[in-house]
Amino acid sequence: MFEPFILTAKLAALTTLILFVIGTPVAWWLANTKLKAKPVIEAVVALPIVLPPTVLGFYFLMLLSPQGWFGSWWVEVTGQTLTFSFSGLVIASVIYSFPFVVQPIQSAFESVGHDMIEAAYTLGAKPLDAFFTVAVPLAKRGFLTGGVLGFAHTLGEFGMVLMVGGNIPGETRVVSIAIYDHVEMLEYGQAHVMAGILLVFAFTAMLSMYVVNHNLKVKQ
Amino acid sequence: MSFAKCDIQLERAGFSVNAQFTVPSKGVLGIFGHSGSGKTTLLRCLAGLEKNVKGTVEVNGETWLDKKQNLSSQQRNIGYVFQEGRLFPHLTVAKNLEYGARRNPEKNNSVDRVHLIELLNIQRLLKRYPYQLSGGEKQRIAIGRALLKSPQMLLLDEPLASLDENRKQEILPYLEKLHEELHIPILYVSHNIDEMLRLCDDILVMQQGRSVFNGNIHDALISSESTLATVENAVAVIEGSVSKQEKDFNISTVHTVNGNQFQVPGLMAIGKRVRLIVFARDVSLAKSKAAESSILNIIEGKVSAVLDKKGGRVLLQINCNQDIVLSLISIKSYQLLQLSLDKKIYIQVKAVVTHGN
Repeated sequence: MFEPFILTAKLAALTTLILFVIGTPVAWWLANTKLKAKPVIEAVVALPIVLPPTVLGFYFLMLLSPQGWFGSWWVEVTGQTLTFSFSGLVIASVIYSFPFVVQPIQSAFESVGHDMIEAAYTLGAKPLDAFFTVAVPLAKRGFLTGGVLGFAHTLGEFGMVLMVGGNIPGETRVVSIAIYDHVEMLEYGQAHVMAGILLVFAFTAMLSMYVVNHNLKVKQ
Repeated sequence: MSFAKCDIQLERAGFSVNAQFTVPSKGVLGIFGHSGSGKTTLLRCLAGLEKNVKGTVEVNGETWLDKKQNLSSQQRNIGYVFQEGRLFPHLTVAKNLEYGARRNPEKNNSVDRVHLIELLNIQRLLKRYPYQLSGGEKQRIAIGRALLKSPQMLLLDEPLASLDENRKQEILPYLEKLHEELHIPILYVSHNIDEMLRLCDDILVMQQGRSVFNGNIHDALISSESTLATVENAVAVIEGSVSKQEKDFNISTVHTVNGNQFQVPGLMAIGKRVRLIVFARDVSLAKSKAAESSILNIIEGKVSAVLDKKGGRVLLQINCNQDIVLSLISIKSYQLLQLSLDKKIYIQVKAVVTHGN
């Protein structure tokens, strides 16, 4: 009963963590680049928002399968297959939730602007120092929003998990899949409990995000 | 002695800056020009905040800019005060002040924190956040923050521009105190000639991105090269010190370096160094010393230059025993008085503004 919850939480937490690490530099770059190709890159980043999860899942299946170029390289290096494994799910989730983390952080960096960074430079701060002591604290609401949305969005994955991960208990059987299974087997009682827990959790996450976000506002 | 020598060029689409100037080792160098004349961009170039800058910048024996290198802002030990202050909104005043002090590249914190906090009168603000401060308080903190880094040079970019008239009057005395106490050069950008007259020892005049004059403010105000001495806004400044007080009349007498005396309104401490600001429109001319006149300041001089003529008026430079003032009179009077170069004349000064220094 609780196994899918633990697995889902592990997946969402790991995905969010990875997204903070790789999404933050991307968000910073997008917020500051003057490159003409910026809208193209922004469109690519935003794709997972609009693409049907099955489309994304299908491409991931192609890419991650032992015959795909990434999947075959993975098999060579680790000896494991990516499709129908937890690692494969993590990789797919990172892409699937990418815009939900990057976009809030990017717009937070954009509203911080370059002026404060310049002020830090004139006070002797090196770029990385200015980034961590000025840009990140001023963009903290973007990080909170990005983190919560990335986590919650990963919880809600269904179509793509089905395509890439299948339904292996303890490995890829996340809550949304488990609920679907119960409904298929007409076990409405169990489906109710799991759906209810997810609903309460999602609401609590959103509520605390909005409350904390309001309190975190940096007064100008 | 010059502290820094600068030759700065920057090309941008539709705009360019080209300026040559020296920074004296002490005192305030005003960078004056109308909006769009490139003064802020020039200051940013000097601070290392602009890319693709060409030319040379040598400061106190160090090369900041030449063909081979363009030091970043962090590598130039400057203090920079932005027009809008740019205090970090997420940090308290105390943490804002600390930010630069902790990152001083030379680790020689020569500025006495306690004294500076007292000088700027910000003791009671230390625990506040920037949003709890008035515009004038923000600028004082910004100045303090820049100075606590112990910079070699303080750069001020229109620090008063975002403030209303009352707040300006509140900040100016602090800037005058800094001028007196700091032993580093201050570069002060402004489009406001009054601020220049109060604060600057030297001036760099910018016009359409080019430097047109660099030198002593007295010379700038009275020479035709600087373009400041025009019929519209002509003014001269004279340095002196208070030698007498007349309490009954609320008048003080100021002795200039060259031995002239001016009577000015208000009681000031004897010995205090003051700067007299004499607008050309307040200086009229007479051929003989009027024996009975309501004007207190009548001084002998001679016409030393004819600077500008426009709209029936003429701007004359008058040399009163090396104290130079400007006089704006009508061309008709000019002809009636039969004035010409080196002609002996008496100036009658209707009003003098003074600023303690």
